[in-house]
Amino acid sequence: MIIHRIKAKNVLKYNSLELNDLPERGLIAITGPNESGKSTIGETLCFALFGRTFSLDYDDLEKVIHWGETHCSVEIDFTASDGNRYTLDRFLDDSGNHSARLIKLDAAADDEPLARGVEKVADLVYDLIGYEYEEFIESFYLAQREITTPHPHSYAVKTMAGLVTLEYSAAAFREVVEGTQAASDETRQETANLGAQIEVFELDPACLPGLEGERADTSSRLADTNHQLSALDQASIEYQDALPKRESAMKARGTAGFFRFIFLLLALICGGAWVLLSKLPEHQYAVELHNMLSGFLVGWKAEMVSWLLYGAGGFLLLFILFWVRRSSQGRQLTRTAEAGRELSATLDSLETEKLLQAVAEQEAPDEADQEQQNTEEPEPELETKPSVELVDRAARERLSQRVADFQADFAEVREGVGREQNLLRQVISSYQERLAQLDGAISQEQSRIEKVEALNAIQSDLLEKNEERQHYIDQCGLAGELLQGTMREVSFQFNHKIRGLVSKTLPLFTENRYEHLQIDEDLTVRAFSSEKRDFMDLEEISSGTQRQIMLAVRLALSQELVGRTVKANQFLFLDEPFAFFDQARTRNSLTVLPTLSEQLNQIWIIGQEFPQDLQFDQHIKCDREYRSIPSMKS
Amino acid sequence: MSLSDQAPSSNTDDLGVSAREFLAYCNAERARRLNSGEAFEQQGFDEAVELVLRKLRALAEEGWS
Repeated sequence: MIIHRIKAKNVLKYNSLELNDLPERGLIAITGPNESGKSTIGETLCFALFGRTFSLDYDDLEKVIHWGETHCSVEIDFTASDGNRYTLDRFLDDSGNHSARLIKLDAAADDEPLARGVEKVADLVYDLIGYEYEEFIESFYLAQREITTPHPHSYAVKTMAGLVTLEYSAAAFREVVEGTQAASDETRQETANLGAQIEVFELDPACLPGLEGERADTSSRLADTNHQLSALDQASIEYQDALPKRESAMKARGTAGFFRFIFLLLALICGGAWVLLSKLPEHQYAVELHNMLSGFLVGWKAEMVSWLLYGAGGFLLLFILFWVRRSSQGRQLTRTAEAGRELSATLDSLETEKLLQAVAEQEAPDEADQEQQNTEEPEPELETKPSVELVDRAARERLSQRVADFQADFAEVREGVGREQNLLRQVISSYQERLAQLDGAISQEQSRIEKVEALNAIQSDLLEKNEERQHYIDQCGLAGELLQGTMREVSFQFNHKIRGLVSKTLPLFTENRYEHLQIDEDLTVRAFSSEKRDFMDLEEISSGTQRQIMLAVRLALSQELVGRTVKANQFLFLDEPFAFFDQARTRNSLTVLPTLSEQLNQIWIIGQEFPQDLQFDQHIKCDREYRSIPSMKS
Repeated sequence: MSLSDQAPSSNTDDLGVSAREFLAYCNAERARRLNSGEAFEQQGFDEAVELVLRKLRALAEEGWS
């Protein structure tokens, strides 16, 4: 930034201040006795640029108005870092009304302001020149009373060192880590609470499989029992159906046996008579038979013997028929006997005792379950409780035996089988009730599992989120560590550069008595004495030399700020920097100042007087009596 | 320094001064940690670097140098 023109009205000492056609390069000297308004020029420049001055607190800004006046104004032309020229004007009255305007000076433009208002102008000025008031007063603007060691933690020095952005980022990461850690702690607490809620359920992983296994078992037993009941019923029906058939078959078989015997006998008699009468007619028995037949049968003749043969054949045929009939009834008896054996086998195969025992076991859960049930829901009692004692095994065995022998009649079978069926139905009923209980318990357990699974899912999500958070915290921690490392490195490099820059000016300012500075990380400055061959604290050095050292530091900081952020030509304003310099050191310093940097090429320098032989590019002379400074050139 | 010692792709054209200084430090630090012989979680390191670079890019867009 290079100043081309300053025009002020009623600022501090001056009613009017107008400096035109300021040289872009070289030394601009401002001289005059005490209280002649030299520093006012610097304060005016500072006020124009930033709306405040070094010597006045911002709250007392109205004091910048010339005594007795109601308002002040200032206008400057400057070239910014972008190479363009701008006009900045500012107005302030004693009521605190403060306004500003920034105009780009361009022949083609219509001079429409780029920004209006104090804040907008301040923002745009920062963009144009690359620094703010704090950096300005720590570097390019050296106020009369302010040659001190720079405050190591000042925002301006950190900006010059390039630490502000890094420090801001590090702070942002610290803040993120703290926030994330707090959220993580909160989530951890939530996770613990969820864990406690899950524990309240006391979920037993074996419970549901156990219930489902028992249900499958009970269901299987119910099916078996139903099958047994059905088989018993069927066998009983078949037995009862077989009873009349068997009786009928036995009667028919007996009748057929009787007639079979009779017809066999008659066939033998007829056959024997025919043999006797036809083959041995002379035999005594044949004669007697013939006589007997003749006596019993009217019209019996010897020619009728052949009828006996026919009769024998007919009786034999009847014999065969009844033999077949008897065999058929025998098969019928065999078939009906099968129904008896079936019912007997069914009765023998009944496992009513086992089934009742199983039911009794189901209804007598172990003590732990009982206690749990007492604390939760009481299991509904069965209305009828079949017991093993109800089973009359001996009666069933007797019935089985009698059924097998087809000795049991309808009533006995109905009673015996009915008793067994009743027991089986009670078992079935018990199983059905148990199944209903198990279904309820399974449903309840599934519901509990679902709730626990839902809680587990939430807990897992939270844990996963926390893992991600922890990863992020670790990343941010490492990021902060790397930023700290970078800041140390940048700080070291900054100090190194400052030391290098200082080493160019310090010997000139101190006539080679001090050549090097040691600048610690916290910007504590120590100077290397060429005489003592050792580093000395500033307190050990004379105040004049201290100012020379700090001037060298300020110039170095200015060079660094120009190189780092301004990156364009820049003015330097030094208010009586050589107050404690002797003539020789002043001359040397003024000679070397324009050569310090290619970019610090407009150097304003204030002094009560300078050696007569020194030449300046512009010389502004002030006097206690002046209330205005017109444009002038040396 | 081998190619594998280089930081992951970070276009330095759009970086401000601070970001470039940070990247330079991280490249050196990365190489130092890689060559230290101690366990070095390279991916985590690169992720942290990228995290900071994103932050610095955002700040640069806001006008921070």
